[in-house]
Amino acid sequence: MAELRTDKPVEREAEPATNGAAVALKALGKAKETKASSLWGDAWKRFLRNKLAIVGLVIIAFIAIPVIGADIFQRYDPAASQYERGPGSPKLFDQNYQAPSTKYWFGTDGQDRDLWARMLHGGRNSLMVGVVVQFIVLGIGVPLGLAAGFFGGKVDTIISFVVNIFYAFPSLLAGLLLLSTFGGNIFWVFVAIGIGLWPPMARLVRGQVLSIREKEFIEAARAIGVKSTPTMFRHILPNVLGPIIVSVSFGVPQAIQIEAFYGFIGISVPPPDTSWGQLVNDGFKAFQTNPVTILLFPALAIALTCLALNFIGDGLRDGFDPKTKNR
Amino acid sequence: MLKYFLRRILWIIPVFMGVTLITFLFMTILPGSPFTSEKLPAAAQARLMQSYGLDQPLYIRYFTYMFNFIRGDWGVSISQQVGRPVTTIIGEHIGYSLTLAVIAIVTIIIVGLPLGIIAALNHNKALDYFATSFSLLFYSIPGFVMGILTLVAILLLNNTLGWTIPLTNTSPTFINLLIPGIILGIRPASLVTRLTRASMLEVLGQDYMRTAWAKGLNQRMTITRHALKNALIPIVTVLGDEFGNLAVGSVTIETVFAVPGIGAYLVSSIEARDYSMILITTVLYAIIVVMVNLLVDLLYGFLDPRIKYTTRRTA
Repeated sequence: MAELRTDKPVEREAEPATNGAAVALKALGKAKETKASSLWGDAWKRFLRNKLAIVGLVIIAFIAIPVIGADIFQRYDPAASQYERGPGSPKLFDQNYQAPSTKYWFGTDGQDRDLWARMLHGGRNSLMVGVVVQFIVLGIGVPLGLAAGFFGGKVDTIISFVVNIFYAFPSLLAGLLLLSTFGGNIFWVFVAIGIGLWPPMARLVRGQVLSIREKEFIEAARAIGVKSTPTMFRHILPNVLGPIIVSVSFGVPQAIQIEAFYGFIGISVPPPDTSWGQLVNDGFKAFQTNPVTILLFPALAIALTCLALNFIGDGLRDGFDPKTKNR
Repeated sequence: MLKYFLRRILWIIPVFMGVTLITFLFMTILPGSPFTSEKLPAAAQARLMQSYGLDQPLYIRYFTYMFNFIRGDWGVSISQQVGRPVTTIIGEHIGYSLTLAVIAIVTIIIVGLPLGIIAALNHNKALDYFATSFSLLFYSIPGFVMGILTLVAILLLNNTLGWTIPLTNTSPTFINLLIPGIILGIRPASLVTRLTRASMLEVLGQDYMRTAWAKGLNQRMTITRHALKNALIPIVTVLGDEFGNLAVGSVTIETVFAVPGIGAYLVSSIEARDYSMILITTVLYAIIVVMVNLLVDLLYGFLDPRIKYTTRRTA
């Protein structure tokens, strides 16, 4: 089946020529009378068959909906101190480090702020970093990998050189330097994380293009005079999309984890804005003498989100890998 | 073949030059100087900058650094431990980081690899589900979060139950480093479990495995010699990439467990704008990454004799 699928572009390109081969191919297709199944349709079907991936999707929905709608789901202002508020509270002047209650679902932090609201808004930053970083990775990695693999020669040498340098450059250091330079803006958090994650993407795309470039259907496309740009975008890129999507799906939790660490050492988004990593840091400073939930909630939020995203990534990988088709 | 490896070793030179150039560019745009924290008058700060040659233009500093580096003069710390050679400082801290790395690698080999093999041999049975779900769970928890949760657990046990689980101090011994090292290794180990399982399943379905079983080889020989050796190729590839992450991971683990290693020192070097320390640490990390890549390529040849080394670069 895998061969049949990769042959498809040839068929499509050859049809207008109405030569003997095309007629024969058509006849062959009729004789087999198999229902056409696209790569995407198959991948989607296999994805849906993966129970863990569905569980992952459900968990992500449960986390993402309140987090994206943080402004609606919050019960207090995430940056406002609840000091002296709340007529029903036992101690009027002491609202800090409260244990979870019906009033403050997740308790309060050291500055009397509602942790539920801070978790929602912090989660929004964490998830946003996870997603936006992928656009940086795609924007740099895919064009460079495509160009290096497709054009080869000098272009490949130069691009591979740059990729290898960045690959050897410790990404955490680049992030630390960038954030201590430009810190105080979420835009630089995106850049600082993206800069460390694009080289593997460029390598992946280059490797995939190198192997696809040698396939017969590309040779056929060339033979009938398809120019290099359409070949690259219409015949090569669609065939690399599967591995790219899988890589991106694993990249999201990776970016979330890196941001969490930057937040933990206090160089991510500036206060009073927050992220799950920073909330872990807040909790880490205070957990020994206060309710441990202040540390556990953000830590578990990061872990659960990444777990669910990895479930989805696994599902996508199985979906796009034809080898698992009949398993 | 010799030509190939010479070429790969020489590749360190452009990487070194590129990595130092990027670091220099970063440090030029980094606001603040190593001396702002000392509350010195502006004139004195300027004089200090001059005495370290930091008032020179970027390209002059870059080439001076290159020249001195080749002569073996790798500079002195300029803000944290003023005047001490960076090599001495690195020497004091690298031992802890290396110990962590070794414990982590041992964890990967004695936990990650066997678990993956067991999972593959018991495909779709209870042991398989146990191994796959645990590996995915541990892979999803960031290293520093796992470190923190472990720390919380240890403190609770020590304080409430009176246990004495050793924690890190300013000059940790091997025992102190054991827990941080294992935590550092758990995440890559769970990745290795997943990879080993997938790779072994693929190999176990091959015809030559049926042949090996059919000719009556004993189980241990079949699995180690025929299955594992072939299954290791993709694992080694990912492990090589993962080693760079191990260096990064050690920064996070060292921060959480307060281990005085290279990674934790690097974080404080950046805060203190200790330029020469930042440079030498970056170069060190970069060289490790290049060397590990070379090692991975060497292992390919050992695992798969069909692979031929040519001077045409493939990576």
